[in-house]
This record gives sequence, C-alpha cells and structure tokens, in this order.
Amino acid sequence: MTMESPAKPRTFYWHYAWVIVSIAAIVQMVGASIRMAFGVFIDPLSDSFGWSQGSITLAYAINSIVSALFSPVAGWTADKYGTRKALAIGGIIFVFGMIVTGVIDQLWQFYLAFGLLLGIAQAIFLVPLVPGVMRWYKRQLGWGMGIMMAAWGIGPAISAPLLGYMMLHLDWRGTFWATAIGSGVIMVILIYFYRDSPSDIGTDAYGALPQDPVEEELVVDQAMNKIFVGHMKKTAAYYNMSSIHFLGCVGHAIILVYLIPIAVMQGLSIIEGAAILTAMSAISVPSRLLVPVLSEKFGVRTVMAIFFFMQGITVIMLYWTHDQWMFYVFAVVFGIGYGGESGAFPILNRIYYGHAPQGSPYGFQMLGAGLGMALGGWIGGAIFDITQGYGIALAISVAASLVGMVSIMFLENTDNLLIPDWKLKSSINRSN
Amino acid sequence: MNTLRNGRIIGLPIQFVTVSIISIIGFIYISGWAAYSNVESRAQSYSHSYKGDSSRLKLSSNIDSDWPSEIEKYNWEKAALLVCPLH
Repeated sequence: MTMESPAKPRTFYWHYAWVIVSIAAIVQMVGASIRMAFGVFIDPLSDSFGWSQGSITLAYAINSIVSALFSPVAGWTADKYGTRKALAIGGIIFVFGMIVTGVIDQLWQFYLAFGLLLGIAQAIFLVPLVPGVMRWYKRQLGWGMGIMMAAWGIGPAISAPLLGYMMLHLDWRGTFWATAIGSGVIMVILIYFYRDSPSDIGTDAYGALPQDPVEEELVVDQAMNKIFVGHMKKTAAYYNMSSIHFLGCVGHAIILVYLIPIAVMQGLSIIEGAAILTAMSAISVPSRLLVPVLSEKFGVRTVMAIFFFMQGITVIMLYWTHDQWMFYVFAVVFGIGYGGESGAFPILNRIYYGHAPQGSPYGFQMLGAGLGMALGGWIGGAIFDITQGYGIALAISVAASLVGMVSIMFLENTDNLLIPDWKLKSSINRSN
Repeated sequence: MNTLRNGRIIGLPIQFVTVSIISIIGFIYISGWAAYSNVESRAQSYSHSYKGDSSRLKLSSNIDSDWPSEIEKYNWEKAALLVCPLH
C-alpha cells in the first residue's frame, strides 16, 4: 500500500491572478502619480497665481487628509460591493476631479477639486486593491504585493517628467485635461478585465492546493467582517501599524513634495528637479518589488526597520547637497529606503490576521498613511513660509522615519496569528 | 519593553497614543508659528508701505482696529493662534 503524498505548490505558473495584479498596479500608478508628482506643480502654480508655497501645498494636505479619512469608507465599500464596482466609482470621480482642477482660478476651487475630489478618488484607488489582490493569492502573495507596490514607484517616475513636459507645451490646464482623458480610457479598459475573486471565473486562488482547508478561503460576509474587526481592534498592532505608516509617510512626503523646490532653490530647473524625482521613484521600484519577498524570508519587522532607517538617515545628505550629481546620489540612496518603507505592510497584515477580511483594517492603516502624507506634505511649505528654508522640515523627516523604525521593533511577534480563533468566535456569536 | 509593547492608555496602545499626542502638539505648534509669522509679516509690510512706524510692528493679541484688512488674520490663522498656547 502506498501513501499518496500531498501536492506541492508550484512557484510560478500562468494564472489570472497576474492579470489582476497588473491591473491593480496600473490603477495605482495612475492614481498615485498626480499626488506623488505634486512637486512639479508648486513653482508653476506659484508663478501663475502668486500663491504661497504653504497655500499650494495645503491642497496636497487636503487631498491626503480626504484620502485618509475616506480610506475606511473605501475599504468598506469594496468589502460590501466588491472591488470592481468601487474602482468604477473611483474612476468616474478621478476623471471628473481632473477636469474640474483644469478650470479653477481660485485657491478654494483648487482645494475643492484637487483636495476633495481627487482625494476621494485616491482612496478608492489605493485601499480596495490591496485586499482585492490578496484575495487572488493563496501563496506567493509576496510577489503579487511586490509588483503592486512597485507601481507606486513607477507612477511618479513616469508622471513627473511627463507632467513637467506637458506643462511646458499644454499649459497646466491642458495638462490636467489631457491626463483626465488618458486616465479615463485606461480605467475603462482595466475595469472591464478586473474580477473580484477567483470564483468569478471559476478558478481557485493562486497557489491553492487540493489539501488546503476550505475554511481558509476568504468569505466576504458582513456579519463575520464586523465581528472580525471587533477582535482586531483589541490588538495593539491594529493601531500601531497605522501610526507606523503615519510616521513613514511623514518621512517621505516631505521629500516627495519638496525635493523639486529644494533642487530649484539650489539653481536647478524644474525639469532637472523632476528628473531627480524620477530617478528616486525608479530606484524605489526594485525595493518595492523585493521587500515583500525579503520580508517573507528574513522577517517582516527586521526588513521594515532597516528600510525605515535607510529612509530616515539618508535625508541628512540634503543638508549639504547642492550640485545636480549630489541630488542624484541622494535620489539613489533615499529611493532604496523609501521604496522598501511601505511594501511590507500587507505582508504584516497577512501574518498577523491571516486570511480574514482586510478591507476595513487596511483602510485604517491607510488613514494613518494619508494623515502622514498630509502632515508631511503641508509642513514643508508652512516652515518654508516662516524660515525661507527647508532645514527644519528635513529634520522632521529624519525624526519621523527613525521613530517609526523604533516603533516597528515594539510590534508583536510575527510567529503566530494574533486572532487565531476569530472564525470560531464568529460562528458562536452568529449561532447565538 | 513589555510595558511599551503591551501597555495601554484609555484602552489604546502606548505607542499609538504617544505618536498621536506628539504629532498633534507638533502640528498645533507649527500652525501657530506659521500663523504668527504670516500676520507679523503682513503687519511689517503694511507698516513699511504706509506708516514707516516700526513701533507698531509688534503683534499683540489685540490688533488695532484701524489696521486695514490686509493685516487682519485669516480664519485659519485665528484658529491656529487660538489653539496654540505658545503663539
């Protein structure tokens, strides 16, 4: 008598999950590009309207805050109605917001269009896709997440010089309108091919094996979801991951928004500054791609702490960076740390909370991230208006990343699920 | 170490509460600083343009009602100065 050995998971093979992760990557590239390349707009808007840096970057802060506040709603929307429908709503708001931004001539209108409308669209693009992609992977989630996180770097790498070029040739209104039309067409095509879960096309998640217990499959059930979130809120990691995301985002938002103005202040042109931002974003791509994979191999907390440290410590270079080549050196070393800073969060979620519904909790973490982007994005302009320099803002960037690194060291052990029996508790509660 | 990892204040983790409080304090301080600086800058600009009297540059909590609208505080500046105890 021979015993049948259980099937072993294959590492790489064709699966619709790769289409899904590609769609998610492109959506995030489109969604993140306008905000991540915001530095391109600061000096042209200031020159066109005479607005101060603090006033202009307040729009960025509003965008980030709205995005942050709307993140839990975006997560909830995706959990309730599905990621595909959420994306369709986000796409419509995004295109409308871009068109409206192109017709503004008052500061409050800029806040309303860029801050409010594009902030809502941003949340819908960023939040539901992560749990949406996680649904498609039983194994090799690290690669899926890595590809998606890499898109956050590719987006601004492409968009910063593209937007800079368009602003020179189309003026800034034409830039927003052209981007709206292009993004709208892309979104329609992507949403057409997107599917919410493997069962929609009659297949299993990537890497699923016959011997996998059926109960580990994700079930989007509102009652279970509510009970799970209740359990999750009792864990320290639920809150601490949000504050760590906040700190990391404060650290890099200051650089993302003010790197171009800092370069311009040192005598470089906007196009040259945009090229440096492009280099930084491009360098962040391999980090984003590799961090989830490294996290699975060497431990999430260790990898995250190292990248937070790199993101923070390299900012000190900017205090003595004056020449173009030095900016490029900074872009390379900072880009590595910045790219790796956020890529491990979905993996940490999976390790702490397993295959439970992740939309709402991930939304809470994105709330922290969005508030961090808002604070970091605004604070440099406010401090510049006071001191006519960026020194204090850079110090805040360093401090935020390093405090984030310390916070990571105090996170719970990653050896076990934090709520291993939440489904059992849910079943008991529901039967009662 | 265990206190930092497991300790709670009003039901929330110490780390989370610490980061939140420090961030809020920092935000309030910098907002107040920016508001104070903006109002003072406008007051100086006005004085140099119209009065040439630097003795009136000092920003007080009771700005002279004769000052023109350019150096009145915007709503966000009023809020920031109200909330920040140091400005």
